[in-house]
Amino acid sequence: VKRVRHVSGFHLDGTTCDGRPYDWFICALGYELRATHAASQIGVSANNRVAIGFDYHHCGRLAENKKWFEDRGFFEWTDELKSDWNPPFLSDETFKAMVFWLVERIWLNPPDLMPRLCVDISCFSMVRLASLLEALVCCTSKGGFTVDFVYSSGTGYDGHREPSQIEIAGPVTDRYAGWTVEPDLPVNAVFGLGLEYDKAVGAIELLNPADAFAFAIGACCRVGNCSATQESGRIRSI
Amino acid sequence: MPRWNRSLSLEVADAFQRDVRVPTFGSLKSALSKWLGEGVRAGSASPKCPENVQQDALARSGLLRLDLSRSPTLVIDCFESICGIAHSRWALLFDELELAPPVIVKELTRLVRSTDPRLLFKLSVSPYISDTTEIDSLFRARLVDGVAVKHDTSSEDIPPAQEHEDFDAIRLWSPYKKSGEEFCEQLANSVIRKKGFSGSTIDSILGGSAFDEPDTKTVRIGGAYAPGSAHYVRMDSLASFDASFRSYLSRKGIDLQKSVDREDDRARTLRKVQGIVIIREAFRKESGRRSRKNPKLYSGVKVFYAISESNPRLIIGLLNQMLGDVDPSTKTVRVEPSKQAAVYASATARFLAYLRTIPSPKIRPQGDSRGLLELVSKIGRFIFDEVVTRPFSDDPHTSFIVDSGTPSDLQEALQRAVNAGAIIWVPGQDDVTLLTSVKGKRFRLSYLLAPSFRLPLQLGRATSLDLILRSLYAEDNVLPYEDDEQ
Repeated sequence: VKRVRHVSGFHLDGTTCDGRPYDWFICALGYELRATHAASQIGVSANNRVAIGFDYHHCGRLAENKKWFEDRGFFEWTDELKSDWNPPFLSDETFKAMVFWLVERIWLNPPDLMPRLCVDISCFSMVRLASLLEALVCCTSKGGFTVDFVYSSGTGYDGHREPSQIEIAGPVTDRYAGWTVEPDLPVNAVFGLGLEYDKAVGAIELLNPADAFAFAIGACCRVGNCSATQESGRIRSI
Repeated sequence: MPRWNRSLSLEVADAFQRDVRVPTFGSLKSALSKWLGEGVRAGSASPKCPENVQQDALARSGLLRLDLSRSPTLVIDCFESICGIAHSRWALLFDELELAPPVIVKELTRLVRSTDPRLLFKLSVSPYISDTTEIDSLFRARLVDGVAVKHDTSSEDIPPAQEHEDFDAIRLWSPYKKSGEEFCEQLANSVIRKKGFSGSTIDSILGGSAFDEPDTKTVRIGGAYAPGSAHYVRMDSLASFDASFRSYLSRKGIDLQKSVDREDDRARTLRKVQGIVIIREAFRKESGRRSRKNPKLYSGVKVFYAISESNPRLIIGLLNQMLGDVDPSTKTVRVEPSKQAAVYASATARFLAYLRTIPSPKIRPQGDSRGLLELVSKIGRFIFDEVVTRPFSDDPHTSFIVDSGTPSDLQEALQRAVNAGAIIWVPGQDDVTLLTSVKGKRFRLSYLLAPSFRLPLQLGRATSLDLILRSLYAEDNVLPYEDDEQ
């Protein structure tokens, strides 16, 4: 570890740093209790609210969460979607089309100032996060957005020492694959330490980067048995 | 050299029709890099650029007209004409060829057969290669009625390259410990010199090991296994709590209390079981398994050679860890056994984490499967039981053969384990250069895993992998995998 920088936390109260409410709040309609947490703190005061469900994993608190979002206007966007997309429960493919449609729509009637988005990533899958980032990046040519990403950590992580095996590894979508124009440059890695035992250490060994930048959970965000903090210690020893 | 700099850079730039701002190698490199960058950019998909425009740009760049062998010979011609040095050989290294596009591999197939005699090709591939790839066709001559025919993955009529005539195969791994020691020693000493430890060698820094065989002279005078010697103490200790070892000694007519006065059967027997005794004595006790963390017995130069598995990256990495905080001006540099063992434990833990990261198909249908790590752990546990838990054997199973009926998912996991370096192929005399199927082949676990699974650093008898997995999964009351339909 060559450099350690501590990033202090800040309090989110439903407004951006300039005191205005968000223009858009985007989150996932998941089956966990935390699916509505950021929405209740931040989303309800946004000018436009969007909750998007999955076409799988219909279990847990999904019905209660759906009603909660419905009562607070998080599904108004569905009226404008194609009915065969089966909103609000979209497949991963229609989700991608939908977020591209959404960012285009934001730019049809842009606010006076740069649009301000808040995305709650707590219940989004990796593929959906990638699709969302793709859509946002593609719109930078139009002027861009201000985006805050928020995350509510779940309870009950126990830093299981035997995480499930990885069955597929590779670029999450085609947008993140390809060749570099400067192949002789060394590889640098940016990664989060996460909560799963050995994943970050294994990724470093696999990639063998010339330099690595890690995001570690600080003392204020510890959960479970602090496996991420332990992982942080192991990374430091490499 | 500086006087050649100007004219050589101009000649090469002219040969490739590039403009250099200043006639230097640096400027030449910039011009060539810029050219390459244009080509890569033109060939990269971009939503902002229509495909036909990209294709035109790529065609105009001229990169597609470059020839794999003609381009280097152009530069060599320039060098020879300007520097006056001729008849030298120029080596081209193609690393990780298993990742290369088929078109490049196909071109290399042609070049290995026939090329400019000044060029020497070094092609590096991982040990396992699928038998449906171009790279396999490059190396594998198939014999039909005694005549070599090309592997049928290409429509072009190029005869296959012949080993010893067109190429020599060098296996870069060492299935047997001794075969890699010379390379490890040379590389380690080179690293040590570069670090500024001029008066030290890998031997003097790491010292001897418990696994070292006593030299012939010591055995001859009866010192190696005589009462009081280190080897005697271990064997006597094991005999004190291991009835099966006592029986073994009795069957062999060996009384440890009697010293040896010449090289005889007794000394040979004890030398043969020495590695097993060390592990068994360290990790077994009468009523079960002894738990020792980070035992110092994994230390010494021979252990370093074995654990590093002739892997340059690992050799350099281990030395960096061991010598990182040592002042090069120190007169007598010595890394303590406890520190050596700690470095190996750390390296092994990272390697296990790496194995977790490698994607793998599920190797059993029931319960949670942990992929490569689970497979490797099962094999490690079996070998540990063979060496430590079960009744003493002077030739325990420490290697395995993959059965012909092994399911495809398990084969795939094994192939990945081979290429990850977790299991090491032990080729037989009749085996071909490349491993294109794991079925029927013999393997051992990497010695890098020995400290974690508490295993000896020696290659022993082979048993069936099916037998290993069935016996261990039976303890968990699950099948290792579903039997293939007959």
